[in-house]
Amino acid sequence: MNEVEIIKEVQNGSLNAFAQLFELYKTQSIRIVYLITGDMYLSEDIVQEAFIKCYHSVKNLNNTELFKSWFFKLLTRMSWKYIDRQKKLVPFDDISQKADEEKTSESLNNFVQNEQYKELHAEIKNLELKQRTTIVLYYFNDMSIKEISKIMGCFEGTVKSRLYTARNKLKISLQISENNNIKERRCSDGICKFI
Amino acid sequence: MESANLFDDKMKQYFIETTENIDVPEDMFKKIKNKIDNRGEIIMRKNSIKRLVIVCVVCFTTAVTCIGAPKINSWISSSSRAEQSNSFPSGVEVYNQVGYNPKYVEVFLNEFKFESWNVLDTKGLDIDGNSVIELKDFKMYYERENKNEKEEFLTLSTSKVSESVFNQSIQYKSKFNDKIEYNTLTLHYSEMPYKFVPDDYELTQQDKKDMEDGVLEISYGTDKIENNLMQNITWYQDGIQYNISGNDVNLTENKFVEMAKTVINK
Repeated sequence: MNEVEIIKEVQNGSLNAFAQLFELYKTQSIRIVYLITGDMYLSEDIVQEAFIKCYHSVKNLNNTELFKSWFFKLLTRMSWKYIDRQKKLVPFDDISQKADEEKTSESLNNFVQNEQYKELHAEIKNLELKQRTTIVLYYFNDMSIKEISKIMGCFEGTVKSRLYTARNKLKISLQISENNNIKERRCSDGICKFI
Repeated sequence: MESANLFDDKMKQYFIETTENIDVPEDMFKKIKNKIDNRGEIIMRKNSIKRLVIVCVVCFTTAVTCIGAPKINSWISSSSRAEQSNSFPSGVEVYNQVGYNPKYVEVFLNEFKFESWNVLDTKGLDIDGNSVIELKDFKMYYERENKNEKEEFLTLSTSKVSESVFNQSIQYKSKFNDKIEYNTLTLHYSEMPYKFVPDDYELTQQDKKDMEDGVLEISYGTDKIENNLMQNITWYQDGIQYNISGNDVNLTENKFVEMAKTVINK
């Protein structure tokens, strides 16, 4: 069955079809929610609740071809709702720890990349929630401005504005990190001790 | 343009590498399916009156004024929803219902197992019957498996209240009280005889005296007279009041303390 047929079966109450739909969307769902919330256990809870809500609400979806946008809208809103009620962002897991553990054995290029990831991670964590969501949907989900505007319930101009602002912040951060690493590379080559 | 593409590539690479090991737990679909199967199931127990009473009695206070807290003369509770759910709730589910994250467990003492949960709307009333505080209480019910006909269950209830309101609640008079210090917390254990009686029951002189002395509670609405012992342990942790209560469960004070520690250490 293709996805549209699966969704129609789910709308008829088929748990088998729902199991197939779960397989199709589970991994991307948990990763998106994790990137928005930064908390693994919370993300599992949100994804679980989202699928339950999906099963009960999908019968209201008239155009089954729009399922992807509809479902990601549900996921996004659920993530926001929890964060908004808490009135603070959930502290991000320390993803950069992995980089630290591997530092001793990896090549210099990998080390530089992981250092940049640390900077990027810190900057993404500090982005305002809707800017961060925009970045995740744009880069991780590979969604268009139009799709993102539907999911986030805002104008396309707003999406562009958020994307522009967030990218500028992240670019500056990456640039600073890269400059620092260029200094380190030069030093490691023995060209200079102090810059 | 080139630098924009490089940046975009880095961003994509970052997100992909950051999440490459992330996936859902293997049993997630099973849990989802269970919740879908059990959703909306209504559970009504024969002794639902007793259960409501147990839930309400732990909220009853004397009229004690604490500085900065409303003067609460009595509490009333009613179910937020018509049905209870017998699916063990996730943290998000609970939060969505009550707006805070209480601690809770699935089993107590390896004997009392989770049976159902619900949410109560609780109001604190002043002496004129005006509502001065409104709460969402989270309630879990645990049943002991036994071969007797008698229903034995515990409740774990939580309320997000200020410490001053909590301090009012622990001044409720009972037949027996004890305080136990555990880490930085104070656990308050109490026992109270409880008499469940039919609607047409006439209070005896002894009943009246015991009630005046604060060593007996009477509750109307059962088919026959039943003398039970209500046991309760309560504590205040991270802005939340916790109560574990049991009616005629024949547990020692130490067992109640052990159960409290199970939740505290969760």
